[in-house]
Amino acid sequence: MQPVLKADSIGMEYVHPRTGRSVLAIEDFSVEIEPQQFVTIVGPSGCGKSTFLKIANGLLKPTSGTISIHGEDVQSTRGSRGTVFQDASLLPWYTVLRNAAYGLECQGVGRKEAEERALPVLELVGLSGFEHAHPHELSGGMRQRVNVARALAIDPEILLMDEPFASLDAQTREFMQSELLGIWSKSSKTVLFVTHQIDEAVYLSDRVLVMSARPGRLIADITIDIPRPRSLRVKREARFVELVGQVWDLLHGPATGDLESTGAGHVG
Amino acid sequence: MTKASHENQSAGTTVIDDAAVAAPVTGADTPSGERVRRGFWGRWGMTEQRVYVAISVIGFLTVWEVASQLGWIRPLFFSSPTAVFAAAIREITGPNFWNNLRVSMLAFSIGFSLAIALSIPLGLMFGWFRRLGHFFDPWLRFFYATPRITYIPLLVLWFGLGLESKIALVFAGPFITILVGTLEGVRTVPTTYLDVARSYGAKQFQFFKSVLLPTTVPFILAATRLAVGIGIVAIVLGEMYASQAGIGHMLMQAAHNLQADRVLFAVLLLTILGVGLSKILLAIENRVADWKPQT
Repeated sequence: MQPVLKADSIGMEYVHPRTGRSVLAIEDFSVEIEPQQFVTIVGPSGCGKSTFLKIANGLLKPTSGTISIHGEDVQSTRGSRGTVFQDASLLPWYTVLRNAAYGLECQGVGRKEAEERALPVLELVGLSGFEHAHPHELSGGMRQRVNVARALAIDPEILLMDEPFASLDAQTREFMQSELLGIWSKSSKTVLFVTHQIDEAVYLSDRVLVMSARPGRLIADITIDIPRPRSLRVKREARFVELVGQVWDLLHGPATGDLESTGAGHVG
Repeated sequence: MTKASHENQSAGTTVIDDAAVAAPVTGADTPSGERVRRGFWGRWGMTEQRVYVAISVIGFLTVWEVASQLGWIRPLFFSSPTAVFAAAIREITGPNFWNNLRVSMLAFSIGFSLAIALSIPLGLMFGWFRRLGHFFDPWLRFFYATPRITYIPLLVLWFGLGLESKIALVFAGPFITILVGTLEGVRTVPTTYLDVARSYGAKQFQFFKSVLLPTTVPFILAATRLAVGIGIVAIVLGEMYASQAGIGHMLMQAAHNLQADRVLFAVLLLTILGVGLSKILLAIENRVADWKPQT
């Protein structure tokens, strides 16, 4: 099967404008994502995982390597990917409906048609009845639903999600994770998700890509063989804990009784 | 003295009437969270805040009037509320007032409109095209910092004593103020919105309409509100130093003739003008920003 997203030895180097010193953010990163797969990149802060997502989005141009979606270079195409940003990326002066329709409007769809097409997506993410509210009137979890709706509304080839639940409290976050899986199974999209929370990555994904600290390199590609549909109860099963531990070891080195870290769920 | 306090009383009643019209009693909290007074005051729609404002204003006017009547202060220098009121009537019914007002308003509205019309597009451009902004930055800083009063001799030299120099003077301050405000507004556009628009493939115009304008308009309006005050100062200054008519001219004349009551009437007039214009702009601001959380 042809992969939806194909990245070939991506490298990203920043040159400091004054000192001229260069920082290597990503090194030789290659990955292929199959249709309808849920793939998560996990890694410590500053490992370049969000940078990679921006590259996949076409917002940044890699200094080396190529990246394409369905064989088309991401720099030259728009609209094949829907991005779910971190919190506070909704336009506060627009209603929920207008925000959900915003991606379509950006692509040149007229406002009326865009809103008509966004309506069923709002229903899918469970926001019927909130069409005319403004973002500040919603809870953080609901705002991120709008964010997901905005990305889904353009019917993208791939959903790119950049730590979308980072600003939510722990309980809302877990709830949103299971909600996202529900939405994902209904919309049957390919997803590339970025997070620094290991248990979130394992719970959501078919594959977890583990990145090293800077320069970000792919150090493991772990298949998550927990059957779907997954309820939140899965998080207490032995296989889940084992997989989380495996990723944790990859990021921290095998456990040596290091008590500084807060545990399996979280990587600084 | 009795006559004076009667007049103050009647002035006070008018204030209460206004308040009652502005905020009918709902029996609950007002939008500002202020408790509506019950009983006598409540029937007049008085919130606690309004009661204190009314006491303050009426009290001050009474003390001023009494002090003047009893000779505690010299009426020649400090006048009194009734004298100012009388001066206002005299002035308004006098031969030159409406012409003075017309001259001032004409210069103000032309200068201020020109300032708005030119500063907003330039501000948007300087903010959006970064290099253009850098290029003009030193000049903006320079003119923003220069005390505007120092332009007067030059402007008179260039444009003479007539309407033109006043228009130029009213233009200068508001122009630079609104321009800088607009520019700052553009520069505060969150980069996240830029990323969102770009990732969904927005064209320049779409971005302008959906992100740039909504983030910048509050800045523009706030700067415009600030500019109203600056423009009024400019018109008065211009007329005080180089004019044969206008409210500023009248003010200067009154001062030369030691007519404190007339001076105070001019001050009052200009204050009302400034406050009125700011209120209108504030109303527009609130309308434009009606998506904002109500505080």
